[in-house]
Amino acid sequence: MKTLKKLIILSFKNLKCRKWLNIKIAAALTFLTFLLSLFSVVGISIANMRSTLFEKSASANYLFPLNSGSIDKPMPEGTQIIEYKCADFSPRLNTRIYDLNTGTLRIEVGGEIFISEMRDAFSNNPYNVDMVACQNPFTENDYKALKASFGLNNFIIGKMPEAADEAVISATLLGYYNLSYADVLGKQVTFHYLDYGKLWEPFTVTGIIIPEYTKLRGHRPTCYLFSGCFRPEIIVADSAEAVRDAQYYFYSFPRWLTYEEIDYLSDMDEHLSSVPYMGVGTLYEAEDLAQIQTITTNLFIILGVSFGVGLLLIIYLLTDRFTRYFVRGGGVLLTEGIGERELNALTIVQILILCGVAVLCSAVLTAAVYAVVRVVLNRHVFGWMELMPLNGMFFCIVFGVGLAMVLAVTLFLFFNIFIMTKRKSIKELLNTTAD
Amino acid sequence: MINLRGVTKIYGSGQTEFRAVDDITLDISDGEFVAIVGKSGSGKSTLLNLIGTLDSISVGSITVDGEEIGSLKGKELARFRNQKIGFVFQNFYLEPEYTVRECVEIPLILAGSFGKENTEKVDKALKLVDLSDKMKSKTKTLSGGEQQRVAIARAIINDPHFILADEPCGNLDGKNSENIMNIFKNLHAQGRTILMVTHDEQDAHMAQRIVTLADGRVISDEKNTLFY
Repeated sequence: MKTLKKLIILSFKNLKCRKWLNIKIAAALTFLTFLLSLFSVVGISIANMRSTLFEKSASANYLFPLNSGSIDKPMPEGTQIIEYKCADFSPRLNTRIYDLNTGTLRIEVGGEIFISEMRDAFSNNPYNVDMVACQNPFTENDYKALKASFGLNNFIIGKMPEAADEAVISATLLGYYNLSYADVLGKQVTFHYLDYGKLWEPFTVTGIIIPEYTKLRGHRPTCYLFSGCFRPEIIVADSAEAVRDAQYYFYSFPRWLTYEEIDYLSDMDEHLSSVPYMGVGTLYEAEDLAQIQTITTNLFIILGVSFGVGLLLIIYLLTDRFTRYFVRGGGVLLTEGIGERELNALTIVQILILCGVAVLCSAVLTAAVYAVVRVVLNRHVFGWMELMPLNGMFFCIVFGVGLAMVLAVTLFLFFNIFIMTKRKSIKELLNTTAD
Repeated sequence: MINLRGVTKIYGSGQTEFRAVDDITLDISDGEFVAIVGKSGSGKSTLLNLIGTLDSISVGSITVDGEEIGSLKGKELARFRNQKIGFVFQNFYLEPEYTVRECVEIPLILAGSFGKENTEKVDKALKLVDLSDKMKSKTKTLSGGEQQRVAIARAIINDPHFILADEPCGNLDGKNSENIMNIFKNLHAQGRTILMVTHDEQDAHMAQRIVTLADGRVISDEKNTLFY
């Protein structure tokens, strides 16, 4: 006990007297862990993003992801793929989103849903698309209003920010349904618009087609619709049975949504709105983006290696200085009557205190990086990739790697001091240059 | 009492073998003030290091107060350095960022002494070397003479039987050297045994006995008739 007290007092005295050097070492160790965390996260994110892009390209034949891994329900038997011919491309629709019984296309159009009685508007339209435009977070009152005012029992919340844009709808209709201007010009489409929990009076738009939209331009939003919009993670249906019957991916809320859940959904909606499809306008753009990602990855690797090497050098220089101070100080302590074992223990205690501080700082910094990467990078740069493994466990692993690095430096420090004090005589220790 | 019997220190081996200390037999009584003199490379510092257990003996034996120091290991060796010997070096070897008080207190902490008792002992030691007013100063801010006085206070803090001083005035000017030597004389007067290595004749003549070394051997061992 007395020895421990002695060692702790001496350790703190030593750490205090060389505080700037110790602060530098702790800071360098902290940043090493931080950099390691950051580059691991970014590296894995980019790799994951590339793999996502690849999946998107791979599913291009379907024009929407049929990634079974992202849907928790297995593909039911008898699932049909319906091919719908268009002028430019042939979207193939999985029956998960197309209800053969009702002839309703359940488009997961993110966050903003709109209802339009298109069957009436276009007799040759094979689908009923029930959509409600909702520009704002969907609230409990919205549900109530939709049920009570509209009598809707079967609706889908999804995401398609452009959906509220008449022009896009027009273009979509043109592109997807292969309609001519003549078919739609002068037709009426009724919109029901929900805003801040209040249902607006339905308004009817006549002649929604804006002449300058061509079929070609309509192709792009359609691509959006089918390549990017079918995100399985945000489907909320009030009528569980109907959606389940339609073989749609179902996410059930057994009660009214809590504010937290609504916030979560609206938050996700917002992310998807800001960068709807990871910045991928079309599948062709995805290929360009993949190339950019390759360059970015390489740049990150070069930067990471440069930073890492620089930081390791700094750590080496600092630890070398620390070692010299410690070795000389050890020599003095030996002349004053410290035992060799006690000196080793003192070395361990001091290094543990130093690295403990570094580990604590790293934990705080890594948590901050976690937040920054998750909220800023992932959201604004990578388009909120739901497949990105940015969860607590992932960061624990990354932090573990950082800790391993701190441990490596700690061991390096200890063995360096240990070997030097073991090899040299006290007189040599005393004559070690430390300044 | 320090007894050296055929003490030899050999560095290297074969053709590169070098005898820094060669078959020295010497007895130093309690309360003596001995100056070890000789030219550079004569082995005087090595001899002091051997007595102080800073280096190991190749051949022979050294007994301090009846204790064979060559057989001391681990805790026993640490206790020996902490309790029986006080070192004073030419280069002081003070921790530059420590305060004077902290520096002097370390041997007490190593001896397992903490708290108020330490404060009193440190005050007493610093008063002895006339540094009471510099207690809170960092050692790096002190002059060479003051640093050496801190080193002496540190050496005597555990009230050791022997003080081993290796060129204590080697880095000091005339005035400071005189101060340091006066402190040693006072310590000697209090009954301490002092072994001082020096190449300065004037400093050597402050000692009671002068042992002269050449090529690692004792070439003369005589009482200082000028000692007062």
